[in-house]
Amino acid sequence: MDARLLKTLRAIVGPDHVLTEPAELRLYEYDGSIERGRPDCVVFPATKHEVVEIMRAANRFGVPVTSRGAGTGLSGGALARYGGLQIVFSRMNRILAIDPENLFAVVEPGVVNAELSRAVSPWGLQFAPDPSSQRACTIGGNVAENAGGPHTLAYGVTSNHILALEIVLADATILRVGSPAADPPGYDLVGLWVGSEGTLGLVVEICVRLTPLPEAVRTLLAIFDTVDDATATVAALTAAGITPAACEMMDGWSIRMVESWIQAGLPTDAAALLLIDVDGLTEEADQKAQRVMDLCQRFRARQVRLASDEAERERLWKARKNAFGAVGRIAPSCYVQDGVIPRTRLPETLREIAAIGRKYGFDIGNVFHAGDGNLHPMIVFDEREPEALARARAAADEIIALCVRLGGSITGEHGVGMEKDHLMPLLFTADDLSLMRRVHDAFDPHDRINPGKIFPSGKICGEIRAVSVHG
Amino acid sequence: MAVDALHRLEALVGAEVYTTDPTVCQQHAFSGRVPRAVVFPRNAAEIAEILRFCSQHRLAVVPLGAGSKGPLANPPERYDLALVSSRLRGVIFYDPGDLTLSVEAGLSLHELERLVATEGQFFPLAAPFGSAATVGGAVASGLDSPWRQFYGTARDLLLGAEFVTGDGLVAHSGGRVVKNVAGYDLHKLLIGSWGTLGVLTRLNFRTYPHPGPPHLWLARYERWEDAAHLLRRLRGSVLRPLAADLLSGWWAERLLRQCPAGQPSFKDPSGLQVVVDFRGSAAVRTRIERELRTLAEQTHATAAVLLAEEAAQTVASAWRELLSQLLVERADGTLFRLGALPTTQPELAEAIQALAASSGVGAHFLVRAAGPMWLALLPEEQGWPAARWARLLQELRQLLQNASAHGTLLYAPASAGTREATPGDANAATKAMQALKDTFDPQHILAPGRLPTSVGAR
Repeated sequence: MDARLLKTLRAIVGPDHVLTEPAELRLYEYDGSIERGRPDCVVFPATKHEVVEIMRAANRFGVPVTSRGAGTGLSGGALARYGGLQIVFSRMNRILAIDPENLFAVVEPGVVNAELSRAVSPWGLQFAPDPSSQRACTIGGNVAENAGGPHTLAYGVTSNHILALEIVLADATILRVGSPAADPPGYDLVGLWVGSEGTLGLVVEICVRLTPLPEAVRTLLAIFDTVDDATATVAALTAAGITPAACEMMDGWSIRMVESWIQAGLPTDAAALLLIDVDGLTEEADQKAQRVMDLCQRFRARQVRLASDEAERERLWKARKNAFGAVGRIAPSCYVQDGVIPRTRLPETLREIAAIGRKYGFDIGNVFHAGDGNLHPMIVFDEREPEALARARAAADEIIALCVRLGGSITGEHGVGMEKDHLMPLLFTADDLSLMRRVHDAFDPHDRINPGKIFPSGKICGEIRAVSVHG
Repeated sequence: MAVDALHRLEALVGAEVYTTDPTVCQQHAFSGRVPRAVVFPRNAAEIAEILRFCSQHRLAVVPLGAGSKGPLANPPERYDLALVSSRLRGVIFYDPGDLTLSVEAGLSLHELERLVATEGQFFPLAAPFGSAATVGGAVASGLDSPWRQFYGTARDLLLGAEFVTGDGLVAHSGGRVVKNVAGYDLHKLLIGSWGTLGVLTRLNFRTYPHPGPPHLWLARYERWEDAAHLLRRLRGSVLRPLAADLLSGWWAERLLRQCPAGQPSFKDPSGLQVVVDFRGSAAVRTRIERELRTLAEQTHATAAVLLAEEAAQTVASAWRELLSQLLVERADGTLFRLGALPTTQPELAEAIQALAASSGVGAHFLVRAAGPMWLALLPEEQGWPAARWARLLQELRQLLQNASAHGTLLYAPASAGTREATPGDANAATKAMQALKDTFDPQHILAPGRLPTSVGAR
């Protein structure tokens, strides 16, 4: 990297906040996915004005810029695919304003998701999106990926909770979009920006909607002897018009993995379990809990348990949120996938995923957001075995192709990033992608911001035939 | 040259799709502007062909559903061709078990609502002009409904779309499933774009379980501060009402006209009315009623009443249609959508009322707890004070800017004269929106100038 650029960067953020040593850079080569991408330099700005200066410097030297929060992403979205500068927002982690009367907060991108919810809890409020990594992941990353989480079933994903953004564009100018007040005039630029995976600009300030915490939450654990009964229960819940706050499923293999690490008291001989939250007013939560229990029993649940207190509730949710960690601890390598299907197709999809696992000779565990059809198959493999990674990717692609064939999507919350760019033609036609590319180029014509994400590279693009999911 | 080009369009798409019949053209006029031809395309490919041709020849095209919102937003600056979606009325699929569906843009909103009702479900877009409106028009106009408090707006309900860009590209974004982050959410840009970015052809939505019949509770207030206080409490409340609006003047009078006899205190339109819709089981409703009574006391309501179920149904239907009814009954007025922080609303509303009174018009508010302040300025005597219009608009702009409130002018009678563009506002957001317009519609042929005028702070 050009020494003059490094000198400029050190002048902008201070010498302590620029990393260039290979050993230091290696930490930023990874995120939560199986992708890799090493930056040439990592910078830690403290203010949005420093971000503007960094962007100017990057332009002067023609270097790409990729932004990163906590690095918990699962699609390589925050990795510097083609090297260049990596901006890490860990120093821009201030909550700038909390307005409980008008139900919004203004934060810097490096604020950790769970910390925002903790900060607003004295007013009985929360920031609703709750990805499993919420104790580490940042709001900036949530905005980039349009993050979800278990409770998005009832509360919506990140895009439903972002009111306004301040963005440093590729030309180093600042753009403010949206408003904490309803229905700002003109086009919905916030809607475009959330989920654009950091490819359109650098988000430096975020105005989020705050949501009242429910009065009562009831957590139910339903245990099943067959996967089919569990998936049928989920489909029946949806069809019966019962909207839980969360409806998570864990298969037997995953239960055993989790239980061997965190002793949450889950039955290790079960084929599947559902972890269901219902909430609302006390009267409402109690009634919904009863309806859910009745329905689980109708589908032959071996046992349905209502968490008796907050401690049990927390223990059950801890088991769920640490499932990926548990598998990661035991398996040599684990590839967490992310696909979506219409909820009516759940039973057959899980059967087919099991068949794909048998075909490739992998254990595939399933811990996922069953209530919104968002699957997270975990493919366990040993990276030291020759070709194992390539075979794991092939199995994953087959699962994703299955999701698309059933009318679903290639990603529900992890993003396309550099993991799934080659799968975009499964969902989108060449014309769709060319329009998205035109929109990209309207904001970043020189492909300077987070290059190599979302859009398929030309050669693969032609090889996969697009199938329309739009009917 | 343009006339020749239009003739060639007929040759391209055929007489079955294309007409210059003066009666048909007249039926698709906007505020007196009559198109020179009308097309009724049968599918997205045909629309793409038409738009490619029009782009090449720079013919101005206005996409239309039923035309129910024609008087709203700005009339097009140029208007050669009306592109009508009346032949795109299909249901592509409806998967009740997944609570999702996909329909063509020209399907009527009421038809869609009836369809989901057969499965005991609810389609909460519930935009006004429902008896005529098409689904595509409801989305393209971005108008809200009272039920946004609970269900959100089109932005929260639309999962994906197919649309055709100004230069004739058939594009898709989003998908049909309830959770999806693949690619840019381009369909969100088309919500509230008034046909200026693309022609919607297919829309994928989520549906909801039907919440049961409405239960309406009304409270009367004398002071803005008190009524707005209740609204804020409801907005951030664990009670999670389906809808909560504050109405003054014409809006209140129009809604209360639906109330049955025997509730005399709610037939008097003076003062401020808060209307709340809450649903649920008997136990839940009993609890909510109790909480509402307490809230009413705490916020100094002067009266409060729970409507009987039958009356509630009638009032709820009228509530949804207040915006369209305004245009029917008071086409001499103007309509704005204002965005202000809830805590600043009482002061802003009182300032606007004072300003309006000094100009001989009344300021009537419909404030949604989770949404905008709809403002109707209605002349108190016969005829719009056109001479004072420019000054009134200027002073309103000033008030909004001082309050950091934004605003959109959604309707003004032709007699009010021209709607000047927002002065001096080439800020970054405006430039970004222009860049998007250039991207989606490089020749600027789609609904030129139709986007409503911004009147407040940015």
